[in-house]
Amino acid sequence: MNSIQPNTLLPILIFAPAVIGLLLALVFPTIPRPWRDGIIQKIGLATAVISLLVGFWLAWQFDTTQQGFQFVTNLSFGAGTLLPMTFSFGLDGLSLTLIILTAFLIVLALLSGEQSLHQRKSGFVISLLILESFLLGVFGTLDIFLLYVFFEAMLIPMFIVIGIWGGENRTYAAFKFFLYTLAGSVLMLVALIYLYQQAGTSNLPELLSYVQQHPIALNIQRLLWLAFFASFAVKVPLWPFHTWLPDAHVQAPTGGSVLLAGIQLKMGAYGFLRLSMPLLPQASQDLAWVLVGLAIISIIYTSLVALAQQDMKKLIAYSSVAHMGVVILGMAANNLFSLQGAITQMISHGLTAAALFLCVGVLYDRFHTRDIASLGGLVRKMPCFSFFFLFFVMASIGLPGTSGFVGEFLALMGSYRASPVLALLAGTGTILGAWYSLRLYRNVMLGDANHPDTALATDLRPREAVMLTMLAVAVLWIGLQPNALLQVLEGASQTVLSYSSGLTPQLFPKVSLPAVFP
Amino acid sequence: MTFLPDPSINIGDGTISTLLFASGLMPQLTLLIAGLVLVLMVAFDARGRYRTICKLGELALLTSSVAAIASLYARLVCDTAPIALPAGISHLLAVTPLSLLLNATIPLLSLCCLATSARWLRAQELAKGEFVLLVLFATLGMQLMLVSNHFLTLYLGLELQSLSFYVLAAFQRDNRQSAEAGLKYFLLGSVASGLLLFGIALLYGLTGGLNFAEIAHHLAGKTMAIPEQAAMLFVLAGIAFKLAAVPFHLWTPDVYEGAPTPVTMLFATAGKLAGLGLFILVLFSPLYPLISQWQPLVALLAIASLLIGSLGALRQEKLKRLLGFSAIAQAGYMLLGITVGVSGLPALLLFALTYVVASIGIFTILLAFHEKAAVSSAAIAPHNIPLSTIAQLRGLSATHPAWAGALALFIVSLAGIPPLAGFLGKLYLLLAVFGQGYVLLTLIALLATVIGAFYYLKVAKAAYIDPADYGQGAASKNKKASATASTSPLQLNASPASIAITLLTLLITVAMVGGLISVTELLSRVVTATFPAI
Repeated sequence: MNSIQPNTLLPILIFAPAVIGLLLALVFPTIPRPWRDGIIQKIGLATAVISLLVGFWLAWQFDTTQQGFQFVTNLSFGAGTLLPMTFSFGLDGLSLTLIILTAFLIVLALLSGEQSLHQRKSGFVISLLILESFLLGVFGTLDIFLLYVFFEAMLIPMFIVIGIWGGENRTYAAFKFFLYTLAGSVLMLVALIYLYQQAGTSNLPELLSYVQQHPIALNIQRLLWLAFFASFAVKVPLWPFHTWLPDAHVQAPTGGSVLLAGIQLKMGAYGFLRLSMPLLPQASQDLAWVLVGLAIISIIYTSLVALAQQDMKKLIAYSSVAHMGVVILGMAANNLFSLQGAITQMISHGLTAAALFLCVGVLYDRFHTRDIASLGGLVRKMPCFSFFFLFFVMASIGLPGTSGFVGEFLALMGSYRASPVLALLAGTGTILGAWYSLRLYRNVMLGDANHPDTALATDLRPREAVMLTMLAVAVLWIGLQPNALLQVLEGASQTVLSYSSGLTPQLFPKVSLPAVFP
Repeated sequence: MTFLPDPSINIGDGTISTLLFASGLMPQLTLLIAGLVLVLMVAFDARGRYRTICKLGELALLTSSVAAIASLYARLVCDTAPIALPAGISHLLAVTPLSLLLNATIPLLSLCCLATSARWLRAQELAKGEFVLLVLFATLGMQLMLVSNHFLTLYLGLELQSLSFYVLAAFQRDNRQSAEAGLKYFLLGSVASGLLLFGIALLYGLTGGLNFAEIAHHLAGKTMAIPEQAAMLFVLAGIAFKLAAVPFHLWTPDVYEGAPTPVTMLFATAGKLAGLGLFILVLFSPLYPLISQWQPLVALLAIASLLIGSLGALRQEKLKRLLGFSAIAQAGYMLLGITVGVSGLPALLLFALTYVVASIGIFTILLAFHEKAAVSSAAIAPHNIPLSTIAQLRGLSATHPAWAGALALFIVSLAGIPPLAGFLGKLYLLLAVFGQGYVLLTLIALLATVIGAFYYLKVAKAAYIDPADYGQGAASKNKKASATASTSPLQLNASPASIAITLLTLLITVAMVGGLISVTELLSRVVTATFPAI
């Protein structure tokens, strides 16, 4: 096995799915029609599974005692360009876990696609493979422009997934999703161009050492931070920028929702951790109150909104905003507990939200509705399903023993260290979360059977059971053995913290009281 | 002014052919000779052998491009010093690496136009030898304009190109829209040419010369007063019209829409590139001393073009009209690059090339399809409706998935969304603009990009996402199809050449960002070799 180096494997892992996807797109007209979908689906699934195994192998090779990036590779082709956009790749604990999460959820999304899509199945598989490359690329690259390329490029396959296989209002949702994200991202591009002009390099490690030696003036840092913020806040999404999310989720097919909630929302948080906090440490601490304020509003407001939802997907979409609020709060609090908690919560939310969307997909498959009020009393007809549904609802609430608990607990503990008030406010969100989640479970699974099809409903099919079991195992594993994950993440968290050492986050806006109350 | 060759110039042991070859005038001469021969052929060709004439025209364009490439190669790679032209000629013409680069690209674009349009023209009953001739002479005009070193040659080339373009726009004589486009283009274009000529006359009055170097020399020493500024303003207005920059853009949407699609293709690709070359030539050569005067004006033109082009395209339903507005917005990006100065030129050229490649792809696909009209009555012969509205594209991906996918990729590249070539061009351009400290311009360009994404995506959506539905939209008159099909009304009629060009442009569009094709070094060398002093 010595011949395979993990650092050469990383670019292959990133690009192989797209290359295979493109090859499939080229050959697929030549495959006879009856076999077409089947063959392409099998190849796609095999690619995704192999990617996941490669991800695991990288994790096995990963040295948790080491800080900084590992498996660093610089591919150089197209030398002598005006702009040295280096093809540089590397992983730390944070990106490694996100890469594994991505590869895992892509497998699930491909599996989920099998029944709910009736037309152009091969196209769905190809889109997801290309999407996988872009998603892996965002987490795996160490070049800011390449990161931007992946960050934006991902919109195209997602646009196609929502636009072709989405619900009735899919065009509107796809456009809204695309334009919102693009509008945020272009501001990030300006900030990246500025950084590149200053440092003369687009390579992230070089840029970081440059910024440490030549700190950027605080007022410029603020502007750059706001430019990054525009992009990441839309992606996360934070409260006033979140309106694209419910639309996109409701209209997207199950596989699309899984990836949206599971991975794309993490990109915003990843951007804060990878770019904003290390490159602009002073501004990040100085403007932490912006994140704190919006995160608190996100947690409480969207939880309340979730309480009022009648559409299951919308409810989960709003709950995602609330959960990501906890992540952002943990990041803003900026200590080891809160950061570790925030990242764990990212992973945990990726798993539970994906699972809940899959559950909604199962229900939609049986009853062709997502309306909470029209369902009820399913627990007798679908015992296995109701078990899993309860499990993931509990994991989403943060029941001890599940991954949700680890993330939320650490994030809240870290926030408490920074300021007890924050922990209190964020804790309110947890209570509201329990309320709307249990309400969802009660109305759908318990009570009287409302839907005429209830009597005919079949329990989980083997494929669905396998998918939900895999997710449940992952959730339980993080919940019961958090140290394994936390160890991998610790190096990354310490690195992020080291950039802001000596600074304290400004958690509340600087408003001198006499000015307000003369 | 003397027309006698300077005796001190040593032509060496080269014959007249090496002289021409190495001096880079071969591309123009090829086209001139081919054009004259073809004029005779068309005149005496009673049976209208379009195919032969078209092939000969393509051959001439290819030769012209190869000659330019060979000359550029000799100049840049082999470092052969250009053989000096006799003084009388060098007074009028100057072959720079930049002009060679553009003169190599423009015939290729015209060639694409001829190669992809043959079947379309035949379907529209427009396949006449004159079409080839006009394309050849337009190309010759553009090439001549780009090697000019003197305002007279510049004007000569420009008018040759413009007059060919006016006729081409009205080529579909029995079509009202085409005739209207030709007339509109002719009237407005003549006014623009007049403005340019007036500016040239003022410059002559001020400096006493028409040679670029003379003018630049005279202007450099002067203090800028109202006459100089007026001259600059008139020249700027004249050339801004050719590039379709706001506020001289009003002809663009109408002419793009009305002209036959192959002609629109020529305007949008070769014409655009020539307009850009003209802009660079005039502003960086005779008017360079006035840079501090024209820079803010060009920036204003850029902002206006970006915003008006993008906003105007938002509500368009006609495909070619939308591309017309998009061409205005793209002119805005190009002007941004000019604002930056010489340091922005490599990025600008890269941007222009990515734009041209994507446009060629889009138009090739538009030309490959047409809608088969229902045979409503036996009396009227079935007439092929060209692809002209966005609604006609609906459902294309169901019947022709590969073509729809290619169209979507070109559109996304034009919108400048990664990971396609268009993004790379835009990124380089914005880096150059931002690098000079024009933050506001960068932000406006990005705003235009976001607006642009909306209308570009509308096209991609129609081709790729929307199902074909009949009973509404442009296809409603197609009653027969509405009864039967859930397939697109469009029929594919692509020649092997169209397929090859689509594949080639697709390859460039996809492979550029991967660094697999890198022209940036070439471009920066061309620019430094062209403007060594600046």
